[in-house]
Amino acid sequence: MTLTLATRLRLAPHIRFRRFEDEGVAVDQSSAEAVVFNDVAARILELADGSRTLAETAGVIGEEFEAENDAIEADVLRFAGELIDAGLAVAS
Amino acid sequence: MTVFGEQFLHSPGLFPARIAGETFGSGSFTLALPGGPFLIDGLSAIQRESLASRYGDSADVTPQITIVVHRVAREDFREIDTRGWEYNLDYLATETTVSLAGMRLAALIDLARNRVGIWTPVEDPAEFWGVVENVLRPLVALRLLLDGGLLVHSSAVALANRGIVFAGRSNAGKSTVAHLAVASKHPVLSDDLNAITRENGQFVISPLPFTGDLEPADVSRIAVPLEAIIGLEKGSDESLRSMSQGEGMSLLVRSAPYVNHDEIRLPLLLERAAEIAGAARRAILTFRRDGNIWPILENLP
Repeated sequence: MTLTLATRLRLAPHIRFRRFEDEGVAVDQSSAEAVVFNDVAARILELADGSRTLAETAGVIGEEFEAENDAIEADVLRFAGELIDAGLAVAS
Repeated sequence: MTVFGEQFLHSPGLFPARIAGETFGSGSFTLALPGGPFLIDGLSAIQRESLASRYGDSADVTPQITIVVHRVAREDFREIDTRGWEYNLDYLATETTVSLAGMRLAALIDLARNRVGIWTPVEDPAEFWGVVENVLRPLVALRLLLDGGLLVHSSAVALANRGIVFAGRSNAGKSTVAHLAVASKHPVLSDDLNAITRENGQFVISPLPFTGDLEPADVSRIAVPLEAIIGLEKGSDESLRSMSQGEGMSLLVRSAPYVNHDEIRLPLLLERAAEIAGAARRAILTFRRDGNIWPILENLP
């Protein structure tokens, strides 16, 4: 599946995510492996509830972190691909 | 996908639905551990002696959890060739129960009623305590998590009455640290599983007899305040760097046996791991097997 800005992202069913302060941790409940994310990445994961397009996610990130929208959209697309490749998220 | 119990039981569909059955005898043994105390009931004299040889005298305390041991036929269990085999219990959770299956054992933990049933054919004193301990370990993990603490696969050392938990992936050096501590006369709480409990709003490391290479007699029985969580990495020299709260939380989740595969209790585990990681100092220690790690730990970030 090709990711576009119209793609919606949500956490994979076996992933639990916990956000605190400026980090986030995603835990694979089948393997008990845990991955730590920085502030921006954690916010993207927090927004990945299947209700927003990646364009909308990039809009939120751009607003909250005061970044240029074009650059943010490219980063969100790339990061979404990495999350899917790692089995942490699925596209819908 | 494997069916719960099928690697250990000939008929996993016949796994006990309730705690009942024939016991070995009327003997009992009380074990005062974090998460308990536990009354182990239904024992033969031989089984009771097996537990006494492992854990010392029966404790004179009021039990919170009752464990009843039941006799079942050896033929109910599969014979397993253990050469090159890594032993992991089968674990199945519901909101109020956890079912366990293992080598010559089945167990049902009823968390709502604070009762546990063990079904086993084992009476041999050299083997029996191991059967009970294979149930006690996940039971203690569950009870600690539900009571505000955490069981951590780690070595823990008391340095000047400060508890340091060393955790990491397999072969990261947990046992090495425990042996270095013994050689340096620093008290070791356990080289395998450590109980982080909460006392008066503070996290402490409480003694457990669940050891790896060390014998229970070799470890300290004195609780110490939790000072630090240390992630271990092997390297060519000694160095210490800070670890973020997220990394600390990740380390604790990975190191929380049994409950980190419990889908129902994973959200609670994440909360607890974050809480403990936030309350303790955190660092990653790189060290050599033959090095001296103690001076560098005086300067924890």
